Amino acid sequence: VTQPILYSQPEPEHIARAGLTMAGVLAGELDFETRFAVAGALAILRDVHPPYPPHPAEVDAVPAEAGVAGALASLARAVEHSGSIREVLRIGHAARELHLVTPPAIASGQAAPR
Amino acid sequence: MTYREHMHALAVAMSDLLRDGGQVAPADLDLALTAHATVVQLLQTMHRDVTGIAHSPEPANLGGLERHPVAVLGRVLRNQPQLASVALSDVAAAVGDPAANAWRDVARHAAVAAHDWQTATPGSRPRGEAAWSEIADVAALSESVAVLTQDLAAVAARTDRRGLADRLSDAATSGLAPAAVAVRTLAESGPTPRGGETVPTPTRLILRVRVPEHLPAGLDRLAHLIRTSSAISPIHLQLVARVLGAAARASGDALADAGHAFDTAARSLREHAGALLAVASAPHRVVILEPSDPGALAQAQQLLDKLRDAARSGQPLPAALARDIGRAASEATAALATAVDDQVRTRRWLTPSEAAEPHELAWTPVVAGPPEPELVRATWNARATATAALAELRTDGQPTRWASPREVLAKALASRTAATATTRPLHPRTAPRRG
Repeated sequence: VTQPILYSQPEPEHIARAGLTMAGVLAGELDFETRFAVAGALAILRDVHPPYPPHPAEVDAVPAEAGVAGALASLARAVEHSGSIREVLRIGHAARELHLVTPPAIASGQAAPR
Repeated sequence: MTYREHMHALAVAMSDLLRDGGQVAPADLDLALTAHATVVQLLQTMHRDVTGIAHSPEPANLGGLERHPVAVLGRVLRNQPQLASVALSDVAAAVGDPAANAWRDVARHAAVAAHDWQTATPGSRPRGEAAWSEIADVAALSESVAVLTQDLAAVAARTDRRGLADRLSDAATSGLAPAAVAVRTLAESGPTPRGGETVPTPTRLILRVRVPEHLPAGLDRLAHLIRTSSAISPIHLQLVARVLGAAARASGDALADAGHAFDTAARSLREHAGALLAVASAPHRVVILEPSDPGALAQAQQLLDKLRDAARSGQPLPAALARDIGRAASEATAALATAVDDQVRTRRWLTPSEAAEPHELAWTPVVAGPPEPELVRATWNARATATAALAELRTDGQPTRWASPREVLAKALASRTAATATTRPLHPRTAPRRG
Protein backbone atom coordinates (compact mmCIF):
# COMPACT_ATOMS: atom_id res chain seq x y z
CA VAL A 1 0.00 0.00 0.00
CA THR A 2 1.58 3.27 -1.04
CA GLN A 3 1.10 6.40 1.04
CA PRO A 4 1.42 9.42 -1.24
CA ILE A 5 0.36 11.71 1.64
CA LEU A 6 3.95 11.92 2.81
CA TYR A 7 5.94 14.42 0.83
CA SER A 8 9.59 15.10 1.10
CA GLN A 9 10.97 18.60 1.30
CA PRO A 10 13.46 19.80 -1.31
CA GLU A 11 17.02 19.25 -0.24
CA PRO A 12 19.28 22.29 -0.77
CA GLU A 13 21.92 21.54 -3.38
CA HIS A 14 25.01 21.74 -1.19
CA ILE A 15 23.39 19.84 1.64
CA ALA A 16 22.43 17.12 -0.82
CA ARG A 17 25.97 17.02 -2.17
CA ALA A 18 27.49 16.83 1.31
CA GLY A 19 25.00 14.12 2.32
CA LEU A 20 25.66 11.97 -0.73
CA THR A 21 29.41 12.35 -0.27
CA MET A 22 29.11 11.21 3.35
CA ALA A 23 26.91 8.29 2.29
CA GLY A 24 29.68 7.38 -0.17
CA VAL A 25 32.27 7.51 2.61
CA LEU A 26 30.08 5.24 4.75
CA ALA A 27 29.85 2.76 1.87
CA GLY A 28 33.61 2.17 2.08
CA GLU A 29 35.89 0.47 4.60
CA LEU A 30 36.37 2.75 7.61
CA ASP A 31 37.92 2.65 11.03
CA PHE A 32 35.54 2.92 13.99
CA GLU A 33 36.16 6.60 14.74
CA THR A 34 35.69 7.80 11.17
CA ARG A 35 32.52 5.78 10.70
CA PHE A 36 31.26 7.07 14.05
CA ALA A 37 31.86 10.69 13.06
CA VAL A 38 30.54 10.50 9.51
CA ALA A 39 27.42 8.54 10.45
CA GLY A 40 26.66 11.10 13.16
CA ALA A 41 27.28 14.06 10.87
CA LEU A 42 25.03 12.62 8.18
CA ALA A 43 22.19 11.84 10.59
CA ILE A 44 22.36 15.31 12.11
CA LEU A 45 22.42 16.95 8.69
CA ARG A 46 19.34 15.05 7.51
CA ASP A 47 17.30 15.24 10.73
CA VAL A 48 14.47 17.32 9.25
CA HIS A 49 10.73 17.00 9.00
CA PRO A 50 9.27 16.52 6.42
CA PRO A 51 12.25 14.40 5.38
CA TYR A 52 14.63 15.03 2.56
CA PRO A 53 14.30 12.60 -0.36
CA PRO A 54 15.81 9.18 0.35
CA HIS A 55 19.32 8.32 -0.62
CA PRO A 56 19.76 5.73 -3.37
CA ALA A 57 19.89 2.14 -2.16
CA GLU A 58 23.39 1.77 -3.58
CA VAL A 59 26.00 4.52 -3.38
CA ASP A 60 29.51 4.32 -4.82
CA ALA A 61 32.18 4.24 -2.15
CA VAL A 62 34.24 7.39 -1.73
CA PRO A 63 37.73 7.38 -0.13
CA ALA A 64 37.44 8.66 3.42
CA GLU A 65 39.92 11.50 3.41
CA ALA A 66 38.77 13.04 0.13
CA GLY A 67 35.14 12.37 0.99
CA VAL A 68 35.27 14.07 4.36
CA ALA A 69 37.12 17.04 2.88
CA GLY A 70 34.56 17.27 0.09
CA ALA A 71 31.67 17.05 2.54
CA LEU A 72 33.16 19.81 4.66
CA ALA A 73 33.56 22.01 1.61
CA SER A 74 29.95 21.38 0.60
CA LEU A 75 28.79 22.18 4.12
CA ALA A 76 30.67 25.46 4.01
CA ARG A 77 28.84 26.32 0.78
CA ALA A 78 25.58 25.19 2.31
CA VAL A 79 26.01 27.68 5.13
CA GLU A 80 26.50 30.48 2.60
CA HIS A 81 23.26 29.54 0.87
CA SER A 82 21.34 28.65 3.98
CA GLY A 83 17.77 29.84 4.37
CA SER A 84 17.38 29.78 8.15
CA ILE A 85 19.26 29.97 11.42
CA ARG A 86 18.02 26.51 12.29
CA GLU A 87 19.56 25.14 9.12
CA VAL A 88 22.87 26.88 9.80
CA LEU A 89 22.97 25.37 13.30
CA ARG A 90 22.26 21.91 11.94
CA ILE A 91 24.97 22.25 9.32
CA GLY A 92 27.41 23.56 11.93
CA HIS A 93 26.64 20.67 14.23
CA ALA A 94 27.20 18.17 11.43
CA ALA A 95 30.48 19.84 10.46
CA ARG A 96 31.64 19.72 14.08
CA GLU A 97 31.13 15.95 14.11
CA LEU A 98 33.27 15.63 11.00
CA HIS A 99 35.99 17.85 12.45
CA LEU A 100 36.25 15.72 15.60
CA VAL A 101 38.21 12.99 13.81
CA THR A 102 39.44 14.79 10.76
CA PRO A 103 43.19 15.09 10.17
CA PRO A 104 44.39 18.68 10.63
CA ALA A 105 45.03 19.19 6.92
CA ILE A 106 41.42 18.45 6.10
CA ALA A 107 40.01 20.30 9.09
CA SER A 108 41.86 23.46 8.13
CA GLY A 109 40.44 23.29 4.62
CA GLN A 110 43.83 22.87 2.90
CA ALA A 111 42.84 19.58 1.33
CA ALA A 112 39.29 20.54 0.55
CA PRO A 113 38.49 20.48 -3.13
CA ARG A 114 36.84 23.66 -4.36
CA MET B 1 25.71 1.32 44.27
CA THR B 2 22.63 -0.81 44.53
CA TYR B 3 20.20 -1.10 47.42
CA ARG B 4 21.89 -4.32 48.63
CA GLU B 5 25.31 -2.68 48.47
CA HIS B 6 24.08 0.26 50.55
CA MET B 7 22.55 -2.10 53.12
CA HIS B 8 25.83 -4.00 53.27
CA ALA B 9 27.84 -0.78 53.69
CA LEU B 10 25.41 0.43 56.36
CA ALA B 11 25.94 -2.78 58.33
CA VAL B 12 29.73 -2.49 57.95
CA ALA B 13 29.67 1.06 59.34
CA MET B 14 27.43 0.03 62.25
CA SER B 15 29.64 -2.97 62.90
CA ASP B 16 32.67 -0.64 63.17
CA LEU B 17 30.77 1.49 65.67
CA LEU B 18 29.78 -1.57 67.72
CA ARG B 19 33.37 -2.78 67.83
CA ASP B 20 34.80 0.59 68.79
CA GLY B 21 32.17 1.23 71.42
CA GLY B 22 30.49 3.96 69.42
CA GLN B 23 32.33 6.52 71.54
CA VAL B 24 31.86 9.53 69.32
CA ALA B 25 33.55 12.79 70.37
CA PRO B 26 31.15 15.17 72.16
CA ALA B 27 31.50 17.67 69.31
CA ASP B 28 30.21 15.05 66.88
CA LEU B 29 27.26 13.95 69.01
CA ASP B 30 24.68 15.90 66.98
CA LEU B 31 26.06 14.43 63.77
CA ALA B 32 25.67 10.95 65.26
CA LEU B 33 22.12 11.71 66.39
CA THR B 34 21.14 12.71 62.86
CA ALA B 35 22.64 9.48 61.53
CA HIS B 36 20.83 7.58 64.26
CA ALA B 37 17.51 9.16 63.26
CA THR B 38 18.17 8.32 59.59
CA VAL B 39 18.73 4.65 60.25
CA VAL B 40 15.71 4.47 62.58
CA GLN B 41 13.54 5.96 59.81
CA LEU B 42 14.89 3.40 57.36
CA LEU B 43 14.05 0.53 59.72
CA GLN B 44 10.57 1.89 60.42
CA THR B 45 9.84 2.12 56.71
CA MET B 46 11.22 -1.30 55.87
CA HIS B 47 9.35 -2.92 58.72
CA ARG B 48 6.08 -1.31 57.63
CA ASP B 49 6.52 -2.19 53.96
CA VAL B 50 7.68 -5.77 54.49
CA THR B 51 5.08 -6.67 57.13
CA GLY B 52 2.23 -4.42 56.08
CA ILE B 53 1.71 -3.62 59.78
CA ALA B 54 1.17 0.13 60.02
CA HIS B 55 -0.29 0.13 63.54
CA SER B 56 0.64 -2.71 65.84
CA PRO B 57 -2.30 -4.30 67.61
CA GLU B 58 0.11 -5.63 70.22
CA PRO B 59 1.31 -3.62 73.19
CA ALA B 60 5.05 -3.47 73.68
CA ASN B 61 5.04 -5.75 76.68
CA LEU B 62 5.95 -9.34 77.45
CA GLY B 63 2.56 -10.68 76.38
CA GLY B 64 2.75 -8.83 73.07
CA LEU B 65 6.29 -10.06 72.54
CA GLU B 66 5.19 -13.63 73.09
CA ARG B 67 2.14 -13.34 70.82
CA HIS B 68 3.50 -11.30 67.92
CA PRO B 69 7.15 -10.25 68.21
CA VAL B 70 7.24 -8.79 64.69
CA ALA B 71 4.37 -6.42 65.46
CA VAL B 72 5.98 -5.42 68.74
CA LEU B 73 9.27 -4.66 66.99
CA GLY B 74 7.37 -2.31 64.66
CA ARG B 75 5.74 -0.55 67.60
CA VAL B 76 9.01 -0.14 69.49
CA LEU B 77 10.74 1.14 66.36
CA ARG B 78 8.02 3.75 65.91
CA ASN B 79 8.55 4.88 69.51
CA GLN B 80 12.24 5.56 69.04
CA PRO B 81 13.13 9.24 69.44
CA GLN B 82 14.15 11.13 66.30
CA LEU B 83 16.76 13.58 67.52
CA ALA B 84 18.21 14.86 64.26
CA SER B 85 19.45 18.43 64.59
CA VAL B 86 21.95 18.65 61.71
CA ALA B 87 21.10 18.74 58.03
CA LEU B 88 21.67 15.36 56.42
CA SER B 89 23.73 17.05 53.69
CA ASP B 90 26.11 18.42 56.35
CA VAL B 91 26.41 15.01 57.94
CA ALA B 92 27.10 13.36 54.60
CA ALA B 93 29.95 15.81 53.92
CA ALA B 94 31.50 15.63 57.41
CA VAL B 95 35.05 14.41 57.95
CA GLY B 96 36.21 13.64 61.46
CA ASP B 97 37.68 10.89 63.63
CA PRO B 98 36.91 7.23 62.85
CA ALA B 99 33.73 7.21 64.96
CA ALA B 100 32.39 10.36 63.31
CA ASN B 101 33.25 8.97 59.90
CA ALA B 102 31.44 5.73 60.71
CA TRP B 103 28.33 7.66 61.80
CA ARG B 104 28.58 9.72 58.61
CA ASP B 105 28.66 6.49 56.59
CA VAL B 106 25.67 5.20 58.54
CA ALA B 107 23.74 8.35 57.59
CA ARG B 108 24.79 8.24 53.94
CA HIS B 109 24.01 4.59 53.33
CA ALA B 110 20.82 4.57 55.36
CA ALA B 111 19.52 7.61 53.47
CA VAL B 112 20.29 6.18 50.04
CA ALA B 113 19.04 2.70 50.93
CA ALA B 114 15.81 4.30 52.16
CA HIS B 115 15.50 6.22 48.90
CA ASP B 116 16.13 3.09 46.82
CA TRP B 117 13.66 1.15 48.91
CA GLN B 118 10.93 3.77 48.71
CA THR B 119 11.30 4.34 44.97
CA ALA B 120 11.40 0.61 44.16
CA THR B 121 8.57 -0.96 42.26
CA PRO B 122 6.50 -2.87 44.86
CA GLY B 123 6.93 -6.09 42.89
CA SER B 124 10.70 -6.00 43.34
CA ARG B 125 10.51 -5.87 47.13
CA PRO B 126 11.02 -9.18 48.96
CA ARG B 127 8.00 -11.42 49.20
CA GLY B 128 7.19 -14.82 50.69
CA GLU B 129 10.11 -16.42 52.49
CA ALA B 130 12.42 -13.64 51.29
CA ALA B 131 10.37 -11.30 53.49
CA TRP B 132 11.66 -13.26 56.50
CA SER B 133 15.20 -12.60 55.35
CA GLU B 134 14.50 -8.89 55.11
CA ILE B 135 12.82 -8.72 58.51
CA ALA B 136 15.75 -10.64 60.06
CA ASP B 137 18.04 -7.92 58.70
CA VAL B 138 15.76 -5.24 60.12
CA ALA B 139 15.95 -7.04 63.48
CA ALA B 140 19.76 -7.27 63.45
CA LEU B 141 20.05 -3.58 62.56
CA SER B 142 17.48 -2.69 65.26
CA GLU B 143 19.45 -4.60 67.88
CA SER B 144 22.56 -2.69 66.83
CA VAL B 145 20.67 0.59 67.07
CA ALA B 146 19.66 -0.28 70.63
CA VAL B 147 23.28 -0.88 71.64
CA LEU B 148 24.53 2.26 69.89
CA THR B 149 21.74 4.34 71.45
CA GLN B 150 23.12 3.37 74.84
CA ASP B 151 26.58 4.50 73.70
CA LEU B 152 25.20 7.86 72.60
CA ALA B 153 23.41 8.22 75.93
CA ALA B 154 26.77 7.74 77.68
CA VAL B 155 28.36 10.46 75.55
CA ALA B 156 25.45 12.82 76.24
CA ALA B 157 25.75 12.15 79.99
CA ARG B 158 29.47 12.94 79.92
CA THR B 159 28.81 16.28 78.25
CA ASP B 160 26.20 17.34 80.76
CA ARG B 161 23.29 17.03 78.36
CA ARG B 162 21.23 15.25 80.95
CA GLY B 163 17.87 15.57 79.25
CA LEU B 164 19.24 14.11 76.05
CA ALA B 165 21.04 11.36 77.95
CA ASP B 166 17.80 10.37 79.68
CA ARG B 167 15.83 10.25 76.45
CA LEU B 168 18.46 8.13 74.79
CA SER B 169 18.79 5.87 77.76
CA ASP B 170 15.01 5.39 77.87
CA ALA B 171 15.02 4.56 74.17
CA ALA B 172 17.85 2.07 74.60
CA THR B 173 15.89 0.23 77.28
CA SER B 174 12.47 0.52 75.64
CA GLY B 175 12.45 -3.10 74.59
CA LEU B 176 14.04 -2.61 71.18
CA ALA B 177 16.84 -5.12 71.74
CA PRO B 178 14.66 -7.94 73.17
CA ALA B 179 12.06 -7.45 70.44
CA ALA B 180 14.79 -7.50 67.80
CA VAL B 181 16.33 -10.67 69.22
CA ALA B 182 12.92 -12.36 69.34
CA VAL B 183 12.18 -11.43 65.73
CA ARG B 184 15.58 -12.53 64.48
CA THR B 185 15.25 -15.85 66.28
CA LEU B 186 11.78 -16.36 64.85
CA ALA B 187 12.87 -15.40 61.33
CA GLU B 188 15.86 -17.70 61.36
CA SER B 189 13.85 -20.69 62.57
CA GLY B 190 12.90 -21.30 58.91
CA PRO B 191 14.33 -20.69 55.43
CA THR B 192 15.45 -17.11 54.79
CA PRO B 193 16.32 -16.87 51.08
CA ARG B 194 17.77 -13.51 50.12
CA GLY B 195 15.54 -11.20 48.10
CA GLY B 196 16.83 -9.82 44.82
CA GLU B 197 17.81 -6.27 44.05
CA THR B 198 15.11 -3.67 44.26
CA VAL B 199 14.10 -2.23 40.94
CA PRO B 200 13.58 1.54 40.82
CA THR B 201 10.28 2.84 39.56
CA PRO B 202 11.16 4.09 36.10
CA THR B 203 10.84 7.75 35.26
CA ARG B 204 11.05 9.45 31.88
CA LEU B 205 13.26 12.26 33.14
CA ILE B 206 16.66 12.59 31.52
CA LEU B 207 19.37 11.36 33.86
CA ARG B 208 22.36 13.68 34.17
CA VAL B 209 25.57 11.77 33.56
CA ARG B 210 28.17 13.65 35.58
CA VAL B 211 30.91 11.03 36.04
CA PRO B 212 31.77 7.78 34.24
CA GLU B 213 30.23 5.83 37.13
CA HIS B 214 26.84 7.23 36.05
CA LEU B 215 27.12 5.69 32.58
CA PRO B 216 25.43 2.34 33.39
CA ALA B 217 22.47 4.11 35.02
CA GLY B 218 22.30 6.52 32.08
CA LEU B 219 22.24 3.61 29.66
CA ASP B 220 19.53 1.90 31.71
CA ARG B 221 17.50 5.11 31.57
CA LEU B 222 18.08 5.29 27.81
CA ALA B 223 16.72 1.74 27.47
CA HIS B 224 13.66 2.73 29.48
CA LEU B 225 13.10 5.85 27.36
CA ILE B 226 13.33 3.76 24.20
CA ARG B 227 10.91 1.15 25.57
CA THR B 228 8.36 3.81 26.47
CA SER B 229 8.65 5.86 23.26
CA SER B 230 5.63 5.63 21.02
CA ALA B 231 7.40 6.84 17.91
CA ILE B 232 11.08 6.95 17.09
CA SER B 233 12.42 8.41 13.90
CA PRO B 234 14.89 6.29 11.93
CA ILE B 235 17.46 9.08 12.07
CA HIS B 236 17.16 9.37 15.85
CA LEU B 237 17.48 5.62 16.07
CA GLN B 238 20.73 5.86 14.11
CA LEU B 239 22.06 8.58 16.38
CA VAL B 240 21.18 6.53 19.47
CA ALA B 241 22.77 3.41 17.96
CA ARG B 242 25.94 5.41 17.38
CA VAL B 243 26.14 6.33 21.08
CA LEU B 244 25.46 2.74 22.12
CA GLY B 245 28.23 1.69 19.76
CA ALA B 246 30.62 4.11 21.45
CA ALA B 247 29.64 2.75 24.88
CA ALA B 248 30.09 -0.86 23.78
CA ARG B 249 33.42 -0.01 22.21
CA ALA B 250 34.69 1.79 25.35
CA SER B 251 33.56 -1.13 27.45
CA GLY B 252 35.19 -3.70 25.15
CA ASP B 253 38.48 -1.76 25.03
CA ALA B 254 38.60 -1.45 28.82
CA LEU B 255 37.90 -5.16 29.30
CA ALA B 256 40.53 -6.08 26.71
CA ASP B 257 43.05 -4.15 28.81
CA ALA B 258 41.81 -5.72 32.04
CA GLY B 259 43.29 -9.16 31.43
CA HIS B 260 42.72 -12.47 29.70
CA ALA B 261 39.74 -13.30 31.90
CA PHE B 262 37.70 -10.78 29.94
CA ASP B 263 39.01 -11.55 26.44
CA THR B 264 35.84 -13.19 25.20
CA ALA B 265 33.56 -10.53 26.58
CA ALA B 266 35.81 -7.82 25.14
CA ARG B 267 35.67 -9.44 21.71
CA SER B 268 31.87 -9.76 21.88
CA LEU B 269 31.47 -6.14 22.89
CA ARG B 270 33.72 -4.89 20.09
CA GLU B 271 31.74 -6.95 17.62
CA HIS B 272 28.57 -5.51 19.09
CA ALA B 273 29.98 -1.99 18.70
CA GLY B 274 30.66 -2.69 15.04
CA ALA B 275 27.12 -3.94 14.52
CA LEU B 276 25.74 -0.78 16.11
CA LEU B 277 27.83 1.40 13.84
CA ALA B 278 26.40 -0.51 10.88
CA VAL B 279 22.97 0.60 12.13
CA ALA B 280 24.23 4.17 12.45
CA SER B 281 25.60 4.24 8.92
CA ALA B 282 22.79 2.40 7.12
CA PRO B 283 21.46 4.26 4.05
CA HIS B 284 18.84 6.91 4.77
CA ARG B 285 15.87 5.26 3.13
CA VAL B 286 13.37 5.02 5.98
CA VAL B 287 11.25 7.89 7.31
CA ILE B 288 8.46 8.41 9.81
CA LEU B 289 5.29 10.47 9.59
CA GLU B 290 5.04 11.41 13.26
CA PRO B 291 7.37 13.59 15.28
CA SER B 292 9.89 11.47 17.14
CA ASP B 293 9.97 11.30 20.93
CA PRO B 294 13.06 13.37 21.82
CA GLY B 295 13.73 11.72 25.21
CA ALA B 296 16.02 8.96 24.00
CA LEU B 297 18.04 11.38 21.91
CA ALA B 298 18.51 13.77 24.84
CA GLN B 299 19.66 10.92 27.08
CA ALA B 300 21.99 9.67 24.36
CA GLN B 301 23.58 13.13 24.17
CA GLN B 302 24.27 13.03 27.93
CA LEU B 303 25.98 9.68 27.50
CA LEU B 304 27.99 10.78 24.48
CA ASP B 305 29.35 13.84 26.27
CA LYS B 306 30.56 11.73 29.19
CA LEU B 307 32.00 9.00 26.95
CA ARG B 308 33.99 11.66 25.11
CA ASP B 309 35.18 13.19 28.39
CA ALA B 310 36.26 9.75 29.60
CA ALA B 311 38.15 9.07 26.36
CA ARG B 312 39.86 12.47 26.51
CA SER B 313 40.92 11.96 30.14
CA GLY B 314 42.95 8.89 29.17
CA GLN B 315 41.93 7.23 32.44
CA PRO B 316 41.08 3.56 31.82
CA LEU B 317 37.63 2.48 32.91
CA PRO B 318 37.77 -0.01 35.82
CA ALA B 319 36.84 -3.52 34.70
CA ALA B 320 33.75 -3.72 36.92
CA LEU B 321 32.45 -0.43 35.54
CA ALA B 322 33.27 -1.51 31.98
CA ARG B 323 31.26 -4.70 32.49
CA ASP B 324 28.30 -2.69 33.76
CA ILE B 325 28.53 -0.33 30.78
CA GLY B 326 28.73 -3.27 28.36
CA ARG B 327 25.78 -4.97 29.99
CA ALA B 328 23.67 -1.80 29.98
CA ALA B 329 24.58 -0.91 26.38
CA SER B 330 23.65 -4.42 25.22
CA GLU B 331 20.32 -4.26 27.02
CA ALA B 332 19.63 -0.84 25.50
CA THR B 333 20.34 -2.31 22.07
CA ALA B 334 17.77 -5.02 22.73
CA ALA B 335 15.29 -2.27 23.62
CA LEU B 336 16.19 -0.45 20.42
CA ALA B 337 15.55 -3.55 18.32
CA THR B 338 12.20 -4.09 20.03
CA ALA B 339 11.33 -0.47 19.25
CA VAL B 340 12.10 -1.16 15.57
CA ASP B 341 9.82 -4.20 15.71
CA ASP B 342 7.07 -1.94 17.09
CA GLN B 343 7.58 0.72 14.40
CA VAL B 344 7.37 -1.93 11.70
CA ARG B 345 4.37 -3.69 13.27
CA THR B 346 2.44 -0.43 13.58
CA ARG B 347 3.47 0.61 10.06
CA ARG B 348 4.90 3.90 11.27
CA TRP B 349 8.04 3.64 9.22
CA LEU B 350 7.91 4.22 5.49
CA THR B 351 10.37 3.45 2.73
CA PRO B 352 10.40 4.47 -0.97
CA SER B 353 8.07 2.33 -3.00
CA GLU B 354 9.82 0.36 -5.70
CA ALA B 355 6.55 0.15 -7.62
CA ALA B 356 6.44 3.90 -8.17
CA GLU B 357 7.44 5.50 -11.40
CA PRO B 358 11.12 6.49 -11.45
CA HIS B 359 10.32 10.21 -11.50
CA GLU B 360 7.79 9.93 -8.65
CA LEU B 361 8.45 9.50 -4.98
CA ALA B 362 5.90 7.29 -3.25
CA TRP B 363 6.23 5.70 0.16
CA THR B 364 5.15 2.34 1.40
CA PRO B 365 5.14 1.03 4.98
CA VAL B 366 8.11 -1.05 6.04
CA VAL B 367 6.89 -4.57 6.73
CA ALA B 368 8.55 -7.53 8.37
CA GLY B 369 9.94 -9.96 5.85
CA PRO B 370 12.46 -9.62 3.08
CA PRO B 371 13.55 -7.41 1.61
CA GLU B 372 13.74 -5.31 4.78
CA PRO B 373 15.51 -1.95 4.52
CA GLU B 374 19.15 -2.21 5.53
CA LEU B 375 18.47 -0.14 8.65
CA VAL B 376 16.02 -2.75 9.94
CA ARG B 377 18.28 -5.66 9.04
CA ALA B 378 21.28 -4.02 10.70
CA THR B 379 19.27 -3.40 13.88
CA TRP B 380 18.23 -7.03 14.07
CA ASN B 381 21.85 -8.05 13.61
CA ALA B 382 22.85 -5.67 16.42
CA ARG B 383 20.28 -7.39 18.64
CA ALA B 384 21.94 -10.75 17.94
CA THR B 385 25.36 -9.38 18.87
CA ALA B 386 23.87 -7.80 22.01
CA THR B 387 22.50 -11.18 23.06
CA ALA B 388 25.92 -12.75 22.51
CA ALA B 389 27.66 -10.00 24.48
CA LEU B 390 25.20 -10.35 27.36
CA ALA B 391 25.80 -14.10 27.47
CA GLU B 392 29.56 -13.53 27.67
CA LEU B 393 29.24 -10.88 30.34
CA ARG B 394 27.15 -13.23 32.46
CA THR B 395 29.66 -16.08 32.21
CA ASP B 396 32.81 -13.97 32.54
CA GLY B 397 32.22 -13.37 36.21
CA GLN B 398 29.64 -14.05 38.83
CA PRO B 399 27.75 -11.13 40.34
CA THR B 400 29.05 -10.15 43.73
CA ARG B 401 26.97 -11.48 46.55
CA TRP B 402 26.87 -8.86 49.24
CA ALA B 403 26.72 -10.25 52.77
CA SER B 404 23.42 -9.47 54.42
CA PRO B 405 23.36 -6.92 57.26
CA ARG B 406 22.72 -9.63 59.84
CA GLU B 407 25.74 -11.61 58.62
CA VAL B 408 27.93 -8.51 58.83
CA LEU B 409 26.66 -7.55 62.26
CA ALA B 410 26.63 -11.02 63.85
CA LYS B 411 30.17 -10.97 65.23
CA ALA B 412 30.16 -7.39 66.44
CA LEU B 413 26.76 -7.84 68.09
CA ALA B 414 27.87 -11.03 69.83
CA SER B 415 30.98 -9.36 71.22
CA ARG B 416 29.11 -6.26 72.35
CA THR B 417 26.36 -8.27 73.96
CA ALA B 418 28.93 -10.30 75.87
CA ALA B 419 30.89 -7.24 76.89
CA THR B 420 27.89 -5.24 78.04
CA ALA B 421 25.88 -8.10 79.52
CA THR B 422 24.16 -7.00 82.64
CA THR B 423 25.95 -8.16 85.74
CA ARG B 424 24.02 -9.70 88.62
CA PRO B 425 23.35 -7.21 91.39
CA LEU B 426 24.07 -8.03 95.01
CA HIS B 427 20.40 -8.83 95.66
CA PRO B 428 17.47 -9.83 93.41
CA ARG B 429 15.50 -6.77 94.51
CA THR B 430 18.06 -4.51 92.85
CA ALA B 431 17.72 -3.70 89.13
CA PRO B 432 20.81 -4.64 87.11
CA ARG B 433 22.96 -1.84 85.70
CA ARG B 434 23.54 -1.70 81.98
CA GLY B 435 26.52 -0.63 79.93
